[in-house]
Amino acid sequence: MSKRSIILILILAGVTFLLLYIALSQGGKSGKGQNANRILPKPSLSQAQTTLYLSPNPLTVANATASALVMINTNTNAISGAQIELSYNPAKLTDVAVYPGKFFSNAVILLNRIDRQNGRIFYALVLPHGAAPKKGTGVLAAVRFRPLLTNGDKTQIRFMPKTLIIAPNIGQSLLLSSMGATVIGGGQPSAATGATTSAY
Amino acid sequence: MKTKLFKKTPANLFILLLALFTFCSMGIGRVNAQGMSLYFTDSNANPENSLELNPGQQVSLDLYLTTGTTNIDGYDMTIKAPNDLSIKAVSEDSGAQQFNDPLSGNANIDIAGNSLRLARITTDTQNGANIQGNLKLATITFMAGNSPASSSEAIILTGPVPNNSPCSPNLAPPCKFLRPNNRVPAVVSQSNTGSFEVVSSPALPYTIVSPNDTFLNFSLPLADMSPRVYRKTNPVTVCVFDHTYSIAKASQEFPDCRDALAEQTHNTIYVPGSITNDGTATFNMPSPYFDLGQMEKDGKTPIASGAYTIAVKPQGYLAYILTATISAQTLNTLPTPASPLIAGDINGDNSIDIMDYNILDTCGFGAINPQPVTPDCQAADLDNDDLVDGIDFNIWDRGIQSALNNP
Repeated sequence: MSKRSIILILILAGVTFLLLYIALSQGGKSGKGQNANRILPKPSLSQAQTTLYLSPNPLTVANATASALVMINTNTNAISGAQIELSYNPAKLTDVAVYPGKFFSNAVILLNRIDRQNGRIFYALVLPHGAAPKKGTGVLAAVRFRPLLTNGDKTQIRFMPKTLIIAPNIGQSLLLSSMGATVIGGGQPSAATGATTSAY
Repeated sequence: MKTKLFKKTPANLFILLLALFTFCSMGIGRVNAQGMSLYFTDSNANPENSLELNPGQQVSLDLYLTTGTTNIDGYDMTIKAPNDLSIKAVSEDSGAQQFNDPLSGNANIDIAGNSLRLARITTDTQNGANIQGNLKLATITFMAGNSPASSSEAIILTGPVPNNSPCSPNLAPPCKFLRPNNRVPAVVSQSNTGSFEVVSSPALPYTIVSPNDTFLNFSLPLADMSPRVYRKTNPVTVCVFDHTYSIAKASQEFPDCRDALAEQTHNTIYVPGSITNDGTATFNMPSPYFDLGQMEKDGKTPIASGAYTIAVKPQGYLAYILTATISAQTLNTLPTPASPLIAGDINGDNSIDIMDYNILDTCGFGAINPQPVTPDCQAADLDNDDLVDGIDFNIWDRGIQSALNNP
């Protein structure tokens, strides 16, 4: 290989590193203004692995106090808190209350608000600061209510958009999917129906 | 063996002579404009006073703007070529890239009008007023026609009708605005050999003007009386939505609007406010910040008079979204919101929720000994006391409760 070739290769390598450096440094700058408020990185789609669902579904109830369990399966996520927004028909379900489940031990309840006029539940619970994030399946919370349903009458409890799952150092919700439940009046009560608050 | 790039033969030299129009600033009563000039060069940066072209031949010239020692924030000019000399292509160069906002939506050739508008301003509030030097604005390709006209024509450079509003030095952008204030012909004449000649135009003045745009004033009553928004460096974002947007839709769209504006930085206004005893922050955008309030729909198009949905969002607060009639090219004052703005939106998505709490938690809320905030955690420091602590949590907590009360 001639001297000239070697010199050319060296020059090309130098230019390549220079361009690489410029590209990387500009990439860092480009998001500066845009992400001024986003101090936590966003998860990729594959990071959001947590599912929420109401159980049992369908939930058959008599006209007595009943409960639907908010179940969580974090799959690979280790999470530190959840915010639940549920909608229901206040003409069909009354005396609604929410209790924490056993998924988070020593959970701190940040929010427990029930809009009985519009049929909305806002509930948020987190692990205490510094606690190790939790992974697995379990009962996140329980929704107790008294149904006002005739035999065979149906109503639904749905998850709403402000249902969110958080984890340390992750800037977006880790909720992958959620599924509500259909409540059916009359018949033989489902398993969770009438459970006491200590059973969650 | 050397290759001769340009071979002149009598047959080839039919000629069109091109270009130099040099405009020097004479600064009529305006010291800011002194020493500015526009000129064309060849690809080796040699100023071109004349150039010969064959019929149908193309040539690319670089357009330079020399500001001397004057800092400028923008320029706006239209180049109209004479008959038989068409503008074929343009690419903006490094000098133009220093001005981040292409007013005319990047350099576009008006084929029908055989003209080209070059217009940019900078909205960089930190460095915008410091652009000066010998700026290479664009490379423009001209093409000579096949049948040169015998009559003299002119290359014309025009700018918008100037607004002679006073503009003192050292103002934040885009107060100072460079534009030619006159039609400046560069004479094209037919030479004895049948060629065209473009002679340099006489030096004519530029005027530094303030753009005649639309402005907003607004006052915001703020819950928690956080000092944060009163700092000059804390942004108040203003989004102007098409009037067909509902307020609810605008609220949903706000994050996108914010991101778009963060890139544009055009409607993101950094203004100092003043506080009254009732906790109302007043943003009257006095000079030199006045021009930062110029309103452009989507950060691009100057808005026309009409009804718009407007979102005004101080950092950390939910946006104040309203529908208001805006009169173009004048000062508009938005009605003050009836209730205080709600604090607690730490991640800036115009929602107060557990995602904001997550940032509080990550940034040290709950720690026994809160540490001074890091730059990444400043948004979580809602009370601006350099700590992320229980007070910030209380502001967030009150915010989320208030937001639920006022969905």
